[in-house]
Amino acid sequence: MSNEITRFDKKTLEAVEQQITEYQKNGQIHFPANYSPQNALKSAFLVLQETLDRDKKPVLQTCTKESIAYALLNTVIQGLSPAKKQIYFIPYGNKLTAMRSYHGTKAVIKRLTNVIDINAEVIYANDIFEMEIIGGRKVIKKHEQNFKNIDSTKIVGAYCIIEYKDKNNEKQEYIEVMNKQQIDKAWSKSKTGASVAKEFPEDMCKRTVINRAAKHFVNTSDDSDLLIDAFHKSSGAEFEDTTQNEVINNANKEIFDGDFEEVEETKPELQAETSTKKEPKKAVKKKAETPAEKASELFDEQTPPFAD
Amino acid sequence: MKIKTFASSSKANCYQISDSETTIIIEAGLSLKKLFKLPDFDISKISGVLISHSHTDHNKFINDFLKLGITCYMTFETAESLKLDSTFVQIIKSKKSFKIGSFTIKAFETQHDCAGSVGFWIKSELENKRLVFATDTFYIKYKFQKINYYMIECNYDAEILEKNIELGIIDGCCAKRLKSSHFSLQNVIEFFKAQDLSVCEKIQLLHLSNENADAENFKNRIIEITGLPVEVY
Repeated sequence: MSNEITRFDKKTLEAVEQQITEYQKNGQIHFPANYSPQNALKSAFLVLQETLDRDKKPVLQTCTKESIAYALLNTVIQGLSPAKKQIYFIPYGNKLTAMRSYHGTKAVIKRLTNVIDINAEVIYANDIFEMEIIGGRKVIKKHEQNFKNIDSTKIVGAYCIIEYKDKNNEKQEYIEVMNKQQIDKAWSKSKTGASVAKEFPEDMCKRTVINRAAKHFVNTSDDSDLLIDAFHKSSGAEFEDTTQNEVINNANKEIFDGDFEEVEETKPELQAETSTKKEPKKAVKKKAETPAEKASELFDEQTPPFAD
Repeated sequence: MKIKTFASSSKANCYQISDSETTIIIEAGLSLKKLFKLPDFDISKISGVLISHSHTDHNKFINDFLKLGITCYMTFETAESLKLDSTFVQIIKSKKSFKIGSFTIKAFETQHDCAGSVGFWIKSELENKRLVFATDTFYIKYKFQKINYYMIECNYDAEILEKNIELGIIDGCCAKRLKSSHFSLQNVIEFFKAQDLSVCEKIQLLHLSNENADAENFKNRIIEITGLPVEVY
């Protein structure tokens, strides 16, 4: 087995490295001054070697070579590093995908040529928050937060500000505001997210609003298509590319024989009470073993991939 | 077995299955107030309600039934998420059969963006007929045997969906969610190709999308594949 991995490692890594040098030569990507694509690649590979899939098998053995190469390439094109928890490698079936964390999103946005900074803040119930729409642009006039107001259970919304320079080199702000209802809706789309979000609501609110702002902003930027493409591929491509894969791998295979089991007559009214009492323990135990635990393993600050 | 589809869409779902002895409801998406107006609905005959998952279009009016002391069957995850507090909630497990009158029922796992979602395999012991009900799932793991009636979601056509995304009618995010939570025509076709249809009498396609479906085309495509009568809701 170990031989197989090393062989695999060299080939894939070399191919990816070659591709990157080519992009650099052609001037298609520019890395930040202190970013070494080679180092990032090596560190990504170290992380990959320890990444396991659902069945606790190393992804290097179960995922296709192409998908691994592609995930590595996406990581490096975006100038991200898994060592900084900016990106995670997640297997979907036999396809490996690179998923950005919100630190990663911030890092990529800051790399866009005209961006100065990106920040997000949470709004609590008793905060003084005033916003206005001027010429179709949201402008935050005031946000006063008393330290005493900070209360995870009383979040009413969140906003993200991206500062950038426009054509005339003047400072502009792109603002995305979401109320709690919209954030909740984004969370509800995620399988594991809702439960994690309850535990770390501030971080998750920020993450959601940053992701939304980033999406809008990235699409209107003039940066290289290569970077933008890689950005989108690691934001949500996993749904499109892998759901059909999952269908092909799992659908219509297992035989369901309804007649097989011996049936006992149940008396619902009598059983109702006992079974509701019995069930929770079992089910809760099961839950902790799978999605929640997985999420905390995979994501920094428990950040799962949201469909927001 | 008689099948009545009272409502089937992302707004509300409610179906009635009966044989000569027992009548059950699948999904409580319609209020009793509305159901009472329907000629085919008789509350006194309802022996139980099956709930597939916790999204409201499938259970919004479950309390109407619980209040009348009608047992509602659902998985633990569904019951937990609906926060129901009633002795008439019966927890079921997938692949464990239970009986309601002359029906033997077994839930099976479905693939939706919702914990504990299930479909139902229902057999009328009286008539020796079997029915499979599955909605809100983007595929079904199983191959069923000797099924007389299929009630299967057929939500969207992948081709129409792509066009709608291009035209901006459907948002990319919605489309992503759809693809990993609802049954496409293309995947339904694959489903029926894999099934044993030797004794099948009728197919019902459920839960069609407003924007991304073409009922007439869906019907014809499934008739083409199966050669069976197809009803579309």
